Amino acid sequence: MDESIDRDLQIPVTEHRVVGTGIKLSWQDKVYRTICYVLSILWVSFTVFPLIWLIGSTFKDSVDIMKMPPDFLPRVPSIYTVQLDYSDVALPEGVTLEQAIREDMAIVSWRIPDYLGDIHLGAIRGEAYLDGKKVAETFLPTQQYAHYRGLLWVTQRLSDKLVRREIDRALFPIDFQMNLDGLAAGRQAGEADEGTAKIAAMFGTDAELQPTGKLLHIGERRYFPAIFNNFITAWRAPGKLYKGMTFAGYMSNSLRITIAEILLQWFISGMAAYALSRILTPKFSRLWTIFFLITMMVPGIATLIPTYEMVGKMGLHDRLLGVILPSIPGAFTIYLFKGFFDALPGEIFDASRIDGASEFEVFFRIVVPMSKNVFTVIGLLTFLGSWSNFFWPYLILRSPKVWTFTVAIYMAMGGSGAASAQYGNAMASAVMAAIPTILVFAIFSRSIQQGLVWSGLKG
Amino acid sequence: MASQLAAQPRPHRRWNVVRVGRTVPGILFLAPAVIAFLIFRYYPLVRGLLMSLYRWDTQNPPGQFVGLNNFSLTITSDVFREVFVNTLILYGFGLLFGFWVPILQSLMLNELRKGYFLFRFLYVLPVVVPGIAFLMVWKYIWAPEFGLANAVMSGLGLPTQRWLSDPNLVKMTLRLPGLLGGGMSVLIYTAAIQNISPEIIEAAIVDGANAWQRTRYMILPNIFPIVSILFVLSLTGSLLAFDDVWIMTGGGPGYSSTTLVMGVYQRAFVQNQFGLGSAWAVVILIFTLILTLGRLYSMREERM
Repeated sequence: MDESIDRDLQIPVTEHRVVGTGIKLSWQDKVYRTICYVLSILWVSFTVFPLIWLIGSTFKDSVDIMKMPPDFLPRVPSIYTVQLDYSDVALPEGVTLEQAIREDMAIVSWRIPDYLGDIHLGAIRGEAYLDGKKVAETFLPTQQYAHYRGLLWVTQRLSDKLVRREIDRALFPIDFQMNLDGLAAGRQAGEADEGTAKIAAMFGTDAELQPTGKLLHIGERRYFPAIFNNFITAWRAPGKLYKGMTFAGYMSNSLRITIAEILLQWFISGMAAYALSRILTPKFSRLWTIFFLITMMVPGIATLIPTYEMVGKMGLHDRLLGVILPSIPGAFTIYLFKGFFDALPGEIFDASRIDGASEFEVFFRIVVPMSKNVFTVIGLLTFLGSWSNFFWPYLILRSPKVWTFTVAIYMAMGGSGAASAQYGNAMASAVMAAIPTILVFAIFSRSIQQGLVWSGLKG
Repeated sequence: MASQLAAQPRPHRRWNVVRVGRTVPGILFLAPAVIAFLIFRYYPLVRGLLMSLYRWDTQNPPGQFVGLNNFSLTITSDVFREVFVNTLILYGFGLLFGFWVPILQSLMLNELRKGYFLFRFLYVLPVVVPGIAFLMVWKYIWAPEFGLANAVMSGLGLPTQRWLSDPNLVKMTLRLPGLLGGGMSVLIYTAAIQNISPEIIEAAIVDGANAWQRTRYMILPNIFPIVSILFVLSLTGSLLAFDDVWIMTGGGPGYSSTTLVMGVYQRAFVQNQFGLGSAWAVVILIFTLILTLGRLYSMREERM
């Protein structure tokens, strides 16, 4: 194809640029250069702005993310401490002190976030006191609340007798400890503010929520770890958000596909390109090169429907193999490999062949070690492509177990619908998924840039 | 290299043995790729052409033969026309907002001495971040009730917009991010600029050409071939756009942002009309082939 143009465009090997050095610049040039600097700085910050906005937004809680106008800096959520006193309360009939405390702690942990959705809640701490000693405490970060609330009945009536039996289940995700002889002293609660007033009001007005213990104090303090709530939720998220899979599971699906595709490109395309470049006679080489490269002119959409049907017939819908296999034919990789192999000095091959080495030995012992560069570039390009691949996995991976992270994020953000409060979690997932690519790009910057220049021109 | 070897047979006695010994490995090395290409490229292509001639029955293929009926249905349908126009409009907005930006950016980038590689790294960074991350943040920015775009609009005293759900705006909204620039094109243009021989530029400096003259009369004409290639490629890209538009709008509202590829998707996987979908796909194939062949032809002209 457009061979000469591709070959011409090389990212320079030296990181040193020579143009204009040592020549005195005129004042016009200096002005021009200054303008270029200013505009470049401005425009670069525009280019990376969405990325920064993405990262910044992942630290917003579900209240802030829907705020208008949006904040530029996320706010640190608060931890609220609710202290209840049991020193001389009248227990309801048939309820032991322990039961009453457990029930109250469940109310504190689960009902407050549910009622007061609009305060910046990082975590809820409940403390029970008996004769001046702390006897029980609970701790529930809101990110846990976010993904357990759908699974638990606790948002229903707690006073119901049937439900009371379920208190143990309600408390299992909570960090809960109780000892009627007294616990070690914990941290003191901070000062009262707007949020605490709301909580106090909630306890006062709703009869359903009257705890058995007496309200001693409600305190509020900043709770910095809660700023990572979206990440923690997205990473661990069992249950609702990711349908029984964790985000790590989706990343590992993506990783498996990516690794398989890289290896297949290396071996299958590499070997084919080697045959084209070094084994076949020129006539056959040209013929087969055309056979491979001509498929670059056929857009994927033209083969989409039959491939979908065929993959279905192979029983590979809903399986990672169904994503991997159709990606094997890589005309562009063959083209890159061939270009590189063509440029290797031919004497080595002839010498080793005459020494009796088989083609396989020549390929694996000589060609592969000599071609580390091209293998790196192709590995990286394949990595970027298949790691971020969305459409085909979306089409054939229907059950959550096999989703790649791209599909999972798409589902978590509610498909193609409007943006919603769930975006905090979904964006946190996206940031986590972007970290590997950014790292790889930072490490292999030059190889990737060179590969991108080539692939950008392939058409 | 291989051709040279074969063209001039060397007097070495064992040469023939080596030649013969290469047929079998040749087949073995080629076979996996050839089989993969046959199964996943050539066979689906042929089958797709075949499908477009049938009212395809997925349960019991091939179903009823309808000749070119699917094609006439496609060409005459209002949806196809709207979608085709959408594609052209998206391309137009892409040119208006996006196409010239990377050219300017790389021209300015070329003037920088300090920070050149950092700037280029930052320009390219969006390319390597998974697309879905960017699309999501853009959806968040365009959100009518709590998005940044409307915050800026009301900050400027302008009326807020329903960016992605207004049929008149959605196509522009989809391509507006192009103004921020960066991406693959910056990389390609900077590579093209750097491949201009430094001696010429230095000679021009000595001759008293100022920076603007150098840019206008030396660099721009030199990268023009690359600009024209990317110009055609962006049309192909518009024809084949799917992921970004699908994630941003799902083709809506109505058909106002549906692209050609999305049309295939809807025919085949939503309406279950594989035959009609294939006909759409074949039409797209023909468009892209015309574009690609035209590009290859024009480049050949240029080189001769």
